[in-house]
Amino acid sequence: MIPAADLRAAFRSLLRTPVRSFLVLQGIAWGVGIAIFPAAVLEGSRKAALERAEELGTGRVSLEAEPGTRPLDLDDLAALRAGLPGFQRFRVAPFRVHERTLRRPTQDGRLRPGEIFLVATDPEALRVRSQEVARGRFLEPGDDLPGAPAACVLEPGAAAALFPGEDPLGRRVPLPEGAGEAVVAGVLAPRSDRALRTDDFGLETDHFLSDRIWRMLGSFGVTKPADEWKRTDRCVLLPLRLLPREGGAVDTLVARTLPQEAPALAEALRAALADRGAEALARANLVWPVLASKRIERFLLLKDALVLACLAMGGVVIANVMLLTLLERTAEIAVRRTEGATRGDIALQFLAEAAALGVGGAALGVPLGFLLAWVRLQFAPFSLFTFAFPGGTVAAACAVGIATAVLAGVLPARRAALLEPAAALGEP
Amino acid sequence: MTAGALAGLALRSLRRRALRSALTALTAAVAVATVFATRGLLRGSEVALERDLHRLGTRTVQAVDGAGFVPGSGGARDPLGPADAAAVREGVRASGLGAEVVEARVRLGVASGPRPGGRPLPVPLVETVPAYGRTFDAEVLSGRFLEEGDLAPGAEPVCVLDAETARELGVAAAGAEVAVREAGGERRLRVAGILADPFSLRVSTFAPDLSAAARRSVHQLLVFRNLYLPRRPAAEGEPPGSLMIFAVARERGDAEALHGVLAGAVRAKERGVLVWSRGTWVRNIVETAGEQVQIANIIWAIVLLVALVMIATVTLVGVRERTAEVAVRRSEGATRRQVTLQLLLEGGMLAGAGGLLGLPLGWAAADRLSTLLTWAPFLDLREGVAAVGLGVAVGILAAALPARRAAGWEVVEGLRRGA
Repeated sequence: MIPAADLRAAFRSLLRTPVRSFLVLQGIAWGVGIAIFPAAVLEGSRKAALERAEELGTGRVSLEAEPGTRPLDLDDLAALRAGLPGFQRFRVAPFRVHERTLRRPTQDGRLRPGEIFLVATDPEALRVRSQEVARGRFLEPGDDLPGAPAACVLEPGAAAALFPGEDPLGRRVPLPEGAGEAVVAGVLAPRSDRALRTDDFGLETDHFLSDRIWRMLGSFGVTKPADEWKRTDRCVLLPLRLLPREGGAVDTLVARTLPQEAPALAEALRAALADRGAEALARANLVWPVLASKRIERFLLLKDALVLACLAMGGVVIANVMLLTLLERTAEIAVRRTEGATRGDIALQFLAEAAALGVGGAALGVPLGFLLAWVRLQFAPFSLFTFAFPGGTVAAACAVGIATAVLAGVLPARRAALLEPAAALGEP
Repeated sequence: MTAGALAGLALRSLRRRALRSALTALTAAVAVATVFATRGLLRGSEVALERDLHRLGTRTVQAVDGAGFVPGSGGARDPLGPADAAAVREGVRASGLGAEVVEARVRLGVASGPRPGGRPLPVPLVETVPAYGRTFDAEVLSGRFLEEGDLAPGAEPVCVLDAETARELGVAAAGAEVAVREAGGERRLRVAGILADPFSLRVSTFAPDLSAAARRSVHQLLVFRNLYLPRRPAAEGEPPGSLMIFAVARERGDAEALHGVLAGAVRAKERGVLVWSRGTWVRNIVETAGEQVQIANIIWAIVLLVALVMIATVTLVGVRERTAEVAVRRSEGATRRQVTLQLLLEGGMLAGAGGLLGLPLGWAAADRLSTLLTWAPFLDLREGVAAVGLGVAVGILAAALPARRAAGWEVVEGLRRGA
């Protein structure tokens, strides 16, 4: 090991020429930075996918009938609930969205259309969409029984819009087509901003690249669904019987399981529905299967190649510059030798300086890695993407960076140690 | 002083500091190798994608129901039927384009195969005729595609699988049996053949498959996870599913005219039927993918920038011990310009030599990485020249600041500093 005193002296010596030192350690810094950044994004996003699955919907699969084929219906729902074993925490709920949405009174008393969505569903919806009740209760099985009093549950935005500044519980919401009114039985808790901005594919709807991705999806035959209601908090949730449809048809089935099982669930749901003669299109988080896949590790080898290139350049340049400065420092070495320093001491001094460059490079590389990760995230329109501190990778990258620098210092150290003091002093 | 003499001088100066020159050249070699390998791999991915996509049949034009696909056509439904296929045949015949017209009826089914413990697989069931194999570059991996004999009523029930479908069902070769379920009924079919996957990139690139489950069936056909069935004359009307009508032009150039014929024959505008030419589609996707590759070029740009900083630093430090030499040359009558030129020349020559060393290095790296990435790098002479050129530019640029500095030294000061 290199003694601490040598390292301290080495750092002081590097700081005497700060600009040069800064430039020389670029190779190591970029090597360490490039090593860290994909790991930071990957680890952070994988963690987010699992730990914040509820908010980000990574375990959810949304199903709709392919346009022009038979609609999904309540019999399909019953079949899925009865016969789709093998998925943990599997739940599925039906949704019907009323075509003409409720109007919302503005301050001057006039009505603005399209602001509030009437959505019929069943009690499972709460768990499937990971929502929570703030006040009152959610829909209950009894609400769907004929003759039960008409009840509804409001999302917070709908409550604020329909009953501004008032207690919505017990108030009445008009139903379409003269179906009377429904009494507000509960109000849901607000969802996070991020949840409201995330669509079924996990795309952030207001990201500047989302439209591009949708255009690309469009060319692959994915049509943009009319699912704005999912990303508002202005839904009035009703029991299914209050928005009846012919043949028990529903617009959407939303299912959920553990994030790890979501891609398999999408396949299984489509297979089960096809078996019943329904052609369903399934939407689930687009990037999660990639992040979860082992195949991505192979792509990271590309990054390793770049790290290798940067470290190689960094090492070579450290060796080169140290060899150059050796010439300027022959006098210094000679003086130290005449003062009694051994060849080993001189070699250690140079190795310490190389190590100090390595430490400096690593210290610069770690924040650089996170900066690269941050920049990369700005170009990722998926709300799943985030970064974490990949401890193992950071430690390994720093170790390799410092080792490269020390290795680069071996040749100059050897040369310095072999200098004869007399010769060194004789040749200024 | 002639350029040749200047070059000789630069060369002698480099050889005098052999170790340092070698190390600087090595830096340039790594940079050039990275540029060459990265560009080769990126270009290779483009070439592979383009080749894959062109196998999807750029001479094919197809008409599909536009329900929910063409804006505003989601309501009243007027699906394509056999009468439309007849109208298209008539239209094509009248146009004299000599295109082949192929029908396919597509619906989603569930298949299960010999794979133990495999889940039932949702697959597009494509009921079609042998000519369907000409709507794209079909290549048979095992057995055969559908044949005329399969269409006869009472013929043995057979199917043909895409390679990916076969893999997921655990079917290794033609001759195996698979079960197909749809709308409650189950049929057992002998696998007559397996088609090769036109997507060589599928294994390595997830992008085209990520949204497969959300794609309209017409596009799901192009995911090539299909099961092909013979389209037999139906005893009681048409089977369920959407009918697609394909027309395959003799030449790619005919596709546009063919598009017009199809659109007219099925009255595409009035009925909201979607008619699209795969060639145009392929071109759009290749262009979009090209943009992505452009962005990925940032990778080698970073490496090149780091190399620039590194070489510039070494040159800057190195030039300081050359004050005496520069002063002597100046006193011998060399102009500032000549001194600058010599140093620039040295930088360029070193980087050039390093670059030539870097090319085989980059080649080897790209070759090694490509086995992991599954696509072949596109390495050609022009890319090599470009990479070395970039390396030389970096070498000259890195020498520019030190050269300016050295040329600026006054003769006397130079001699003093050198002393």
